Amino acid sequence: MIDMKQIKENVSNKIKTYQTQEESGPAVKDTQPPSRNMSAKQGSASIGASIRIKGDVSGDENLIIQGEVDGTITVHGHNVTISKTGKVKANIEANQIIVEGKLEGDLNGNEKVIIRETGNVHGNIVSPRVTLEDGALFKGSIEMEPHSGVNTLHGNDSSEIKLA
Amino acid sequence: MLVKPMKVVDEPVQDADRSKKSPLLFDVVGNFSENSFFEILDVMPAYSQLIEQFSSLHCKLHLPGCNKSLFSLSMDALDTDAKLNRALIKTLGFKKQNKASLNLILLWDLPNYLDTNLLRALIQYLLPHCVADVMLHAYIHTREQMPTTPGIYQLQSDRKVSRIDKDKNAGQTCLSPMYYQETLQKALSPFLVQRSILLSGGMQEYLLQCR
Repeated sequence: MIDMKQIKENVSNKIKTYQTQEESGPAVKDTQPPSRNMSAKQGSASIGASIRIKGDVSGDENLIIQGEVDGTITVHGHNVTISKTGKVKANIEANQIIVEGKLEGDLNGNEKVIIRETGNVHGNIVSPRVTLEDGALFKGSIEMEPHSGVNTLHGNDSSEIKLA
Repeated sequence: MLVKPMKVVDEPVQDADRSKKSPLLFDVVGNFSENSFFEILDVMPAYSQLIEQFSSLHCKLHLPGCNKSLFSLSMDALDTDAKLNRALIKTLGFKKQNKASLNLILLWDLPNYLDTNLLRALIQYLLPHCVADVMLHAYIHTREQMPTTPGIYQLQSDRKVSRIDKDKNAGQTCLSPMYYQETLQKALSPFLVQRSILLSGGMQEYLLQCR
Protein backbone atom coordinates (compact mmCIF):
# COMPACT_ATOMS: atom_id res chain seq x y z
CA MET A 1 0.00 0.00 0.00
CA ILE A 2 1.41 3.37 -0.97
CA ASP A 3 0.75 6.34 1.26
CA MET A 4 1.06 9.58 -0.65
CA LYS A 5 2.03 11.71 2.35
CA GLN A 6 4.85 9.34 3.02
CA ILE A 7 5.77 9.44 -0.65
CA LYS A 8 5.88 13.24 -0.61
CA GLU A 9 8.07 13.31 2.48
CA ASN A 10 10.32 10.66 1.08
CA VAL A 11 10.53 12.37 -2.28
CA SER A 12 11.45 15.68 -0.66
CA ASN A 13 14.14 13.99 1.40
CA LYS A 14 15.39 12.09 -1.59
CA ILE A 15 15.62 15.21 -3.69
CA LYS A 16 17.76 16.81 -1.01
CA THR A 17 19.98 13.78 -0.75
CA TYR A 18 20.17 13.52 -4.55
CA GLN A 19 21.98 16.80 -4.59
CA THR A 20 24.68 15.43 -2.35
CA GLN A 21 24.72 11.69 -2.78
CA GLU A 22 23.51 10.92 -6.31
CA GLU A 23 21.73 7.82 -5.13
CA SER A 24 18.33 6.83 -3.85
CA GLY A 25 16.54 3.79 -2.47
CA PRO A 26 12.94 2.66 -2.74
CA ALA A 27 10.63 4.92 -0.79
CA VAL A 28 7.91 2.42 -0.23
CA LYS A 29 7.59 -1.31 -0.60
CA ASP A 30 6.11 -2.75 -3.79
CA THR A 31 6.69 0.33 -5.90
CA GLN A 32 9.28 1.58 -8.27
CA PRO A 33 11.76 4.04 -6.81
CA PRO A 34 10.18 7.43 -6.17
CA SER A 35 10.90 10.14 -8.61
CA ARG A 36 11.40 13.84 -8.48
CA ASN A 37 8.43 14.02 -10.81
CA MET A 38 6.17 13.01 -7.94
CA SER A 39 5.57 16.26 -6.18
CA ALA A 40 3.01 18.14 -4.19
CA LYS A 41 1.31 21.07 -5.89
CA GLN A 42 -1.32 23.14 -4.17
CA GLY A 43 -2.52 20.28 -1.97
CA SER A 44 -2.38 17.73 -4.76
CA ALA A 45 0.07 14.96 -5.33
CA SER A 46 1.14 14.52 -8.90
CA ILE A 47 2.46 11.43 -10.61
CA GLY A 48 4.53 12.76 -13.47
CA ALA A 49 4.30 11.67 -17.08
CA SER A 50 7.46 9.56 -16.92
CA ILE A 51 6.46 7.71 -13.75
CA ARG A 52 5.12 4.16 -13.75
CA ILE A 53 3.67 2.70 -10.57
CA LYS A 54 2.68 -0.90 -10.00
CA GLY A 55 0.88 -1.31 -6.72
CA ASP A 56 -1.77 0.21 -4.50
CA VAL A 57 -1.93 3.97 -4.11
CA SER A 58 -3.80 5.58 -1.21
CA GLY A 59 -3.78 8.93 0.49
CA ASP A 60 -5.61 11.88 1.97
CA GLU A 61 -5.20 14.48 -0.73
CA ASN A 62 -6.04 15.07 -4.34
CA LEU A 63 -4.09 13.09 -6.89
CA ILE A 64 -3.18 14.04 -10.45
CA ILE A 65 -1.91 11.23 -12.65
CA GLN A 66 0.08 12.10 -15.73
CA GLY A 67 2.01 8.83 -15.86
CA GLU A 68 1.02 5.19 -15.61
CA VAL A 69 -0.52 3.36 -12.67
CA ASP A 70 -1.31 -0.33 -12.53
CA GLY A 71 -3.02 -1.41 -9.32
CA THR A 72 -5.62 0.32 -7.16
CA ILE A 73 -6.11 3.95 -6.20
CA THR A 74 -7.97 4.98 -3.06
CA VAL A 75 -8.27 8.59 -1.92
CA HIS A 76 -11.43 8.80 0.14
CA GLY A 77 -12.85 12.30 0.32
CA HIS A 78 -10.48 13.62 -2.34
CA ASN A 79 -10.27 13.84 -6.10
CA VAL A 80 -8.38 11.89 -8.71
CA THR A 81 -7.60 13.41 -12.10
CA ILE A 82 -6.15 11.32 -14.89
CA SER A 83 -4.55 13.78 -17.28
CA LYS A 84 -4.41 13.41 -21.05
CA THR A 85 -1.07 11.64 -20.81
CA GLY A 86 -2.23 9.35 -18.01
CA LYS A 87 -2.66 5.62 -18.55
CA VAL A 88 -4.27 3.82 -15.65
CA LYS A 89 -5.21 0.20 -15.13
CA ALA A 90 -6.76 0.37 -11.72
CA ASN A 91 -9.93 0.42 -9.72
CA ILE A 92 -10.37 3.90 -8.28
CA GLU A 93 -12.24 5.06 -5.20
CA ALA A 94 -12.43 8.79 -4.69
CA ASN A 95 -14.80 11.66 -4.10
CA GLN A 96 -14.55 12.99 -7.64
CA ILE A 97 -12.87 11.28 -10.55
CA ILE A 98 -11.98 13.17 -13.73
CA VAL A 99 -10.66 11.22 -16.70
CA GLU A 100 -8.90 12.99 -19.55
CA GLY A 101 -6.61 10.09 -20.43
CA LYS A 102 -6.95 6.34 -20.70
CA LEU A 103 -8.42 4.22 -17.94
CA GLU A 104 -9.17 0.54 -17.62
CA GLY A 105 -10.85 -0.32 -14.35
CA ASP A 106 -13.85 0.28 -12.14
CA LEU A 107 -14.61 3.73 -10.78
CA ASN A 108 -16.38 4.50 -7.54
CA GLY A 109 -16.98 8.23 -7.32
CA ASN A 110 -18.73 9.25 -4.13
CA GLU A 111 -19.67 12.61 -5.61
CA LYS A 112 -19.23 12.42 -9.36
CA VAL A 113 -17.33 10.99 -12.29
CA ILE A 114 -16.47 13.13 -15.30
CA ILE A 115 -15.11 11.70 -18.54
CA ARG A 116 -13.70 14.54 -20.62
CA GLU A 117 -13.79 14.58 -24.42
CA THR A 118 -10.26 13.15 -24.57
CA GLY A 119 -11.06 10.43 -22.05
CA ASN A 120 -11.22 6.74 -22.89
CA VAL A 121 -12.69 4.54 -20.18
CA HIS A 122 -13.28 0.81 -20.20
CA GLY A 123 -14.86 -0.30 -16.95
CA ASN A 124 -17.77 0.06 -14.60
CA ILE A 125 -18.79 3.27 -12.88
CA VAL A 126 -20.75 3.64 -9.66
CA SER A 127 -21.54 7.24 -8.80
CA PRO A 128 -24.55 9.48 -8.15
CA ARG A 129 -23.50 11.78 -10.99
CA VAL A 130 -21.81 10.86 -14.24
CA THR A 131 -20.86 13.25 -17.03
CA LEU A 132 -19.72 12.01 -20.41
CA GLU A 133 -18.53 14.83 -22.63
CA ASP A 134 -19.03 14.69 -26.38
CA GLY A 135 -16.18 12.76 -27.94
CA ALA A 136 -15.43 10.74 -24.83
CA LEU A 137 -15.18 7.00 -25.29
CA PHE A 138 -16.80 4.69 -22.77
CA LYS A 139 -17.46 0.98 -22.65
CA GLY A 140 -18.85 -0.68 -19.57
CA SER A 141 -21.66 -0.02 -17.16
CA ILE A 142 -22.82 3.02 -15.25
CA GLU A 143 -24.68 2.57 -12.00
CA MET A 144 -26.24 5.76 -10.78
CA GLU A 145 -27.32 5.95 -7.20
CA PRO A 146 -29.20 9.17 -6.68
CA HIS A 147 -28.56 10.19 -3.10
CA SER A 148 -31.05 11.98 -0.92
CA GLY A 149 -31.18 15.67 -1.66
CA VAL A 150 -30.82 17.24 -5.07
CA ASN A 151 -28.00 16.36 -7.39
CA THR A 152 -27.40 17.68 -10.84
CA LEU A 153 -25.89 16.20 -13.92
CA HIS A 154 -24.30 18.43 -16.51
CA GLY A 155 -23.76 17.31 -20.06
CA ASN A 156 -21.45 18.97 -22.52
CA ASP A 157 -24.40 20.81 -23.98
CA SER A 158 -24.92 22.49 -20.62
CA SER A 159 -28.21 20.70 -20.10
CA GLU A 160 -28.97 19.88 -16.52
CA ILE A 161 -30.95 17.12 -14.93
CA LYS A 162 -32.02 17.14 -11.35
CA LEU A 163 -31.85 13.88 -9.48
CA ALA A 164 -34.38 13.39 -6.74
CA MET B 1 -33.15 -16.10 -44.19
CA LEU B 2 -34.99 -12.83 -43.68
CA VAL B 3 -32.17 -10.43 -44.40
CA LYS B 4 -31.77 -9.81 -48.07
CA PRO B 5 -28.34 -9.23 -49.59
CA MET B 6 -27.24 -5.65 -49.15
CA LYS B 7 -27.24 -3.88 -52.45
CA VAL B 8 -26.10 -0.29 -52.28
CA VAL B 9 -28.22 2.02 -54.35
CA ASP B 10 -28.00 5.74 -54.96
CA GLU B 11 -31.41 6.71 -53.78
CA PRO B 12 -31.15 8.52 -50.45
CA VAL B 13 -33.41 7.48 -47.63
CA GLN B 14 -35.87 10.25 -47.04
CA ASP B 15 -36.11 11.64 -43.54
CA ALA B 16 -33.38 9.30 -42.33
CA ASP B 17 -31.50 12.04 -40.54
CA ARG B 18 -34.47 13.93 -39.18
CA SER B 19 -35.61 13.76 -35.63
CA LYS B 20 -38.83 11.94 -35.01
CA LYS B 21 -41.15 11.29 -32.14
CA SER B 22 -40.55 8.01 -30.37
CA PRO B 23 -43.51 7.65 -28.02
CA LEU B 24 -42.98 4.01 -27.03
CA LEU B 25 -39.39 4.56 -25.97
CA PHE B 26 -40.22 7.55 -23.82
CA ASP B 27 -43.29 5.78 -22.42
CA VAL B 28 -41.32 2.79 -21.23
CA VAL B 29 -38.63 4.99 -19.69
CA GLY B 30 -41.30 7.15 -18.09
CA ASN B 31 -42.96 4.12 -16.56
CA PHE B 32 -39.87 3.15 -14.62
CA SER B 33 -40.35 4.03 -10.99
CA GLU B 34 -37.74 6.13 -9.24
CA ASN B 35 -38.10 3.87 -6.22
CA SER B 36 -36.94 0.72 -7.93
CA PHE B 37 -33.66 -0.43 -9.42
CA PHE B 38 -33.44 -1.06 -13.15
CA GLU B 39 -30.85 -2.45 -15.49
CA ILE B 40 -30.82 -1.30 -19.08
CA LEU B 41 -28.75 -2.52 -22.02
CA ASP B 42 -28.05 -0.09 -24.84
CA VAL B 43 -26.01 -1.49 -27.72
CA MET B 44 -25.16 1.98 -29.08
CA PRO B 45 -22.03 3.91 -28.12
CA ALA B 46 -22.43 5.80 -24.86
CA TYR B 47 -23.36 9.47 -25.05
CA SER B 48 -24.32 12.11 -22.55
CA GLN B 49 -28.01 12.56 -23.38
CA LEU B 50 -28.77 8.90 -22.76
CA ILE B 51 -27.04 8.98 -19.39
CA GLU B 52 -28.97 12.12 -18.50
CA GLN B 53 -32.24 10.53 -19.55
CA PHE B 54 -31.80 7.70 -17.09
CA SER B 55 -30.02 9.62 -14.37
CA SER B 56 -33.19 10.28 -12.41
CA LEU B 57 -33.57 6.55 -11.88
CA HIS B 58 -31.66 4.27 -9.60
CA CYS B 59 -30.37 2.21 -12.46
CA LYS B 60 -27.48 0.48 -14.08
CA LEU B 61 -26.76 1.22 -17.72
CA HIS B 62 -24.87 -1.43 -19.63
CA LEU B 63 -23.12 0.35 -22.47
CA PRO B 64 -20.91 -2.07 -24.36
CA GLY B 65 -20.97 0.13 -27.47
CA CYS B 66 -21.25 -3.01 -29.52
CA ASN B 67 -23.57 -2.13 -32.38
CA LYS B 68 -20.76 -2.07 -34.95
CA SER B 69 -19.17 -5.20 -33.50
CA LEU B 70 -22.46 -7.07 -33.72
CA PHE B 71 -23.04 -5.70 -37.21
CA SER B 72 -19.66 -7.02 -38.32
CA LEU B 73 -20.07 -10.52 -36.87
CA SER B 74 -20.17 -13.07 -39.62
CA MET B 75 -22.32 -16.15 -39.17
CA ASP B 76 -20.11 -17.94 -41.70
CA ALA B 77 -17.16 -17.66 -39.33
CA LEU B 78 -19.28 -18.45 -36.27
CA ASP B 79 -20.35 -21.87 -37.42
CA THR B 80 -20.59 -23.52 -34.01
CA ASP B 81 -22.54 -22.58 -30.89
CA ALA B 82 -19.31 -22.32 -28.90
CA LYS B 83 -17.76 -19.87 -31.37
CA LEU B 84 -20.94 -17.84 -31.46
CA ASN B 85 -21.18 -17.73 -27.68
CA ARG B 86 -17.53 -16.66 -27.35
CA ALA B 87 -18.09 -13.90 -29.90
CA LEU B 88 -21.17 -12.63 -28.07
CA ILE B 89 -19.38 -12.72 -24.70
CA LYS B 90 -16.50 -10.76 -26.20
CA THR B 91 -18.89 -8.27 -27.75
CA LEU B 92 -21.35 -7.79 -24.90
CA GLY B 93 -19.39 -8.88 -21.85
CA PHE B 94 -22.08 -10.79 -19.98
CA LYS B 95 -20.82 -14.05 -18.50
CA LYS B 96 -22.15 -16.52 -15.98
CA GLN B 97 -20.04 -14.93 -13.28
CA ASN B 98 -20.80 -11.44 -14.55
CA LYS B 99 -24.55 -11.64 -14.61
CA ALA B 100 -27.02 -8.89 -15.24
CA SER B 101 -30.75 -8.60 -14.60
CA LEU B 102 -31.85 -6.55 -17.56
CA ASN B 103 -35.23 -4.82 -17.44
CA LEU B 104 -34.92 -3.12 -20.82
CA ILE B 105 -32.94 -3.86 -23.97
CA LEU B 106 -32.47 -1.05 -26.48
CA LEU B 107 -31.57 -2.45 -29.89
CA TRP B 108 -32.55 0.66 -31.90
CA ASP B 109 -32.47 -0.29 -35.60
CA LEU B 110 -29.85 -3.03 -35.22
CA PRO B 111 -32.31 -5.92 -35.87
CA ASN B 112 -32.63 -4.73 -39.48
CA TYR B 113 -28.94 -5.37 -40.04
CA LEU B 114 -28.28 -8.67 -38.29
CA ASP B 115 -28.54 -12.07 -39.86
CA THR B 116 -31.70 -13.66 -38.49
CA ASN B 117 -29.74 -16.54 -36.96
CA LEU B 118 -27.43 -14.08 -35.25
CA LEU B 119 -30.41 -12.12 -33.98
CA ARG B 120 -31.89 -15.31 -32.51
CA ALA B 121 -28.55 -16.23 -30.96
CA LEU B 122 -28.22 -12.73 -29.48
CA ILE B 123 -31.63 -13.00 -27.83
CA GLN B 124 -30.89 -16.47 -26.47
CA TYR B 125 -27.55 -15.21 -25.14
CA LEU B 126 -29.20 -12.26 -23.40
CA LEU B 127 -32.15 -14.12 -21.88
CA PRO B 128 -30.26 -15.54 -18.85
CA HIS B 129 -29.27 -11.95 -18.05
CA CYS B 130 -32.83 -10.62 -18.09
CA VAL B 131 -35.67 -10.38 -15.59
CA ALA B 132 -38.76 -12.43 -16.43
CA ASP B 133 -40.76 -9.59 -17.98
CA VAL B 134 -37.89 -7.82 -19.72
CA MET B 135 -38.84 -5.27 -22.39
CA LEU B 136 -37.16 -4.86 -25.76
CA HIS B 137 -37.29 -1.73 -27.91
CA ALA B 138 -36.46 -1.63 -31.62
CA TYR B 139 -36.99 0.37 -34.79
CA ILE B 140 -37.83 -1.56 -37.93
CA HIS B 141 -37.50 -0.05 -41.39
CA THR B 142 -40.71 -0.52 -43.33
CA ARG B 143 -39.50 0.90 -46.63
CA GLU B 144 -37.66 -1.15 -49.19
CA GLN B 145 -34.46 0.87 -48.72
CA MET B 146 -32.65 1.67 -45.50
CA PRO B 147 -29.26 3.25 -44.65
CA THR B 148 -26.33 0.88 -45.16
CA THR B 149 -25.29 0.86 -41.50
CA PRO B 150 -27.15 0.93 -38.17
CA GLY B 151 -27.76 4.44 -36.93
CA ILE B 152 -26.76 6.14 -33.74
CA TYR B 153 -29.90 7.54 -32.19
CA GLN B 154 -29.73 10.39 -29.74
CA LEU B 155 -32.51 11.29 -27.37
CA GLN B 156 -33.82 14.79 -27.70
CA SER B 157 -36.37 16.88 -25.95
CA ASP B 158 -40.09 16.65 -26.77
CA ARG B 159 -39.97 12.83 -26.77
CA LYS B 160 -37.96 12.82 -29.99
CA VAL B 161 -34.93 10.93 -31.19
CA SER B 162 -32.59 11.85 -34.01
CA ARG B 163 -30.46 9.59 -36.13
CA ILE B 164 -26.83 10.68 -36.33
CA ASP B 165 -24.98 9.54 -39.43
CA LYS B 166 -21.24 9.89 -38.92
CA ASP B 167 -20.52 7.14 -41.40
CA LYS B 168 -18.77 8.16 -44.62
CA ASN B 169 -21.40 6.19 -46.52
CA ALA B 170 -24.22 8.23 -45.03
CA GLY B 171 -26.94 8.69 -47.59
CA GLN B 172 -26.31 5.38 -49.29
CA THR B 173 -28.93 2.73 -48.90
CA CYS B 174 -29.43 -0.99 -49.11
CA LEU B 175 -32.39 -3.31 -49.17
CA SER B 176 -34.29 -3.53 -45.94
CA PRO B 177 -35.50 -6.89 -44.58
CA MET B 178 -38.89 -5.21 -44.04
CA TYR B 179 -39.86 -7.36 -41.09
CA TYR B 180 -43.51 -7.84 -40.52
CA GLN B 181 -44.65 -8.28 -36.96
CA GLU B 182 -44.87 -12.07 -37.18
CA THR B 183 -41.42 -12.51 -38.68
CA LEU B 184 -39.96 -10.07 -36.16
CA GLN B 185 -41.50 -12.01 -33.28
CA LYS B 186 -40.06 -15.24 -34.65
CA ALA B 187 -36.62 -13.70 -34.86
CA LEU B 188 -36.88 -12.22 -31.38
CA SER B 189 -38.67 -15.15 -29.76
CA PRO B 190 -39.72 -15.43 -26.89
CA PHE B 191 -40.41 -11.69 -27.09
CA LEU B 192 -43.90 -10.73 -28.21
CA VAL B 193 -44.98 -7.38 -29.56
CA GLN B 194 -46.71 -5.38 -26.88
CA ARG B 195 -47.09 -2.09 -28.73
CA SER B 196 -46.17 -0.83 -32.17
CA ILE B 197 -46.38 2.60 -33.81
CA LEU B 198 -45.52 3.75 -37.31
CA LEU B 199 -43.17 6.72 -37.09
CA SER B 200 -42.37 9.33 -39.69
CA GLY B 201 -39.67 8.41 -42.18
CA GLY B 202 -40.82 4.83 -42.68
CA MET B 203 -39.83 3.45 -39.30
CA GLN B 204 -41.99 1.21 -37.17
CA GLU B 205 -41.35 1.49 -33.46
CA TYR B 206 -41.76 -1.75 -31.54
CA LEU B 207 -41.97 -2.45 -27.86
CA LEU B 208 -41.76 -6.15 -27.11
CA GLN B 209 -41.97 -8.04 -23.87
CA CYS B 210 -40.71 -11.46 -22.91
CA ARG B 211 -43.58 -13.84 -22.19
